[in-house]
Amino acid sequence: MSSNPLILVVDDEKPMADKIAEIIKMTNRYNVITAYGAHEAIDLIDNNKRFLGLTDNKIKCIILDLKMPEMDGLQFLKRLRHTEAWFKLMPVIVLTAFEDEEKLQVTTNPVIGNVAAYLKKPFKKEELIDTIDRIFHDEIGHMIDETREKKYKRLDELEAEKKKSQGQ
Amino acid sequence: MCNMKRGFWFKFGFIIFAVAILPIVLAWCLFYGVIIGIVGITVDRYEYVRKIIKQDVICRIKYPSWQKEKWEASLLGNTNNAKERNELETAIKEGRRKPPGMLGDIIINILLFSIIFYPFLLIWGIVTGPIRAGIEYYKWCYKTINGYSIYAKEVW
Repeated sequence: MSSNPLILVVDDEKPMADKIAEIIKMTNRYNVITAYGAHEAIDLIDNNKRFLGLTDNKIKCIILDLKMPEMDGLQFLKRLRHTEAWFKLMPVIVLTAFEDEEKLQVTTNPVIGNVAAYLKKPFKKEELIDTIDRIFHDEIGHMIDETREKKYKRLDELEAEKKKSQGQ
Repeated sequence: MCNMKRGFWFKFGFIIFAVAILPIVLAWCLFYGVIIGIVGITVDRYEYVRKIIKQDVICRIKYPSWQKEKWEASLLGNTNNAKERNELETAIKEGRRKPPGMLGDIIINILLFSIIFYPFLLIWGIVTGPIRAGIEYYKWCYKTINGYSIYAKEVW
């Protein structure tokens, strides 16, 4: 059995989820499982418990798409952070095609979101691998701070764009 | 994951079976839960200490002066007396006051967060272990009766 860390990819678009899984598997440094919906992801997290959930999960990182039917990425993230203690700081990489104020606020919130990185689709595979590598080299704290800094800048940009469009 | 439809007689039969084996299941939950409670908490603490040591080593390699600076700032920040502060600064410069070494930090971490909390966590593990085992049994029954997981409902 390989001792590589286990990564969960959650995306409702099957080809996209499989592509991400393939990119990660190609590194030979990580094991990947995929969930094609948030409910399936919760089920997989439950199935990967260790010692009845008394210690941390086998899944060490989650790559999460925000736009999903039934339960979207934000709802999943909130639910994840409200369960066992180890999920409060589990590294989560968020993937999304559209950035808006609510998504930025929730995903980078220190309590509800606390995401390690925010990757905008389409992203380069090197960007994804670098982000995962940083997480597994104990840079998670710095990454959360960096992502929050990026959010503040992006929120300013969105605000400026809003004012500009209102002025026109 | 396929969603298997369960008939009335299957559900009825399974409920009878689940209730009939309940005393055995409860005994199993108690035994298995206590064992897993002890082992789980011990493994958790061991992994925590290992992680702390690994993070500490990485932190020292990447940012060699960070912990020294933090120690200095906290030491000097504890005093409002200018004379005392000057004395401390001189002592640090002359090397009479030194930051705790790597071993010192690790021992503090192990003592504070692992050895002291271990008995309390062990009690927590022993108490919640059988409850968690019972919940697992409930989830298994739910999945067998309905054909889908308790978290999934009928979404896929």
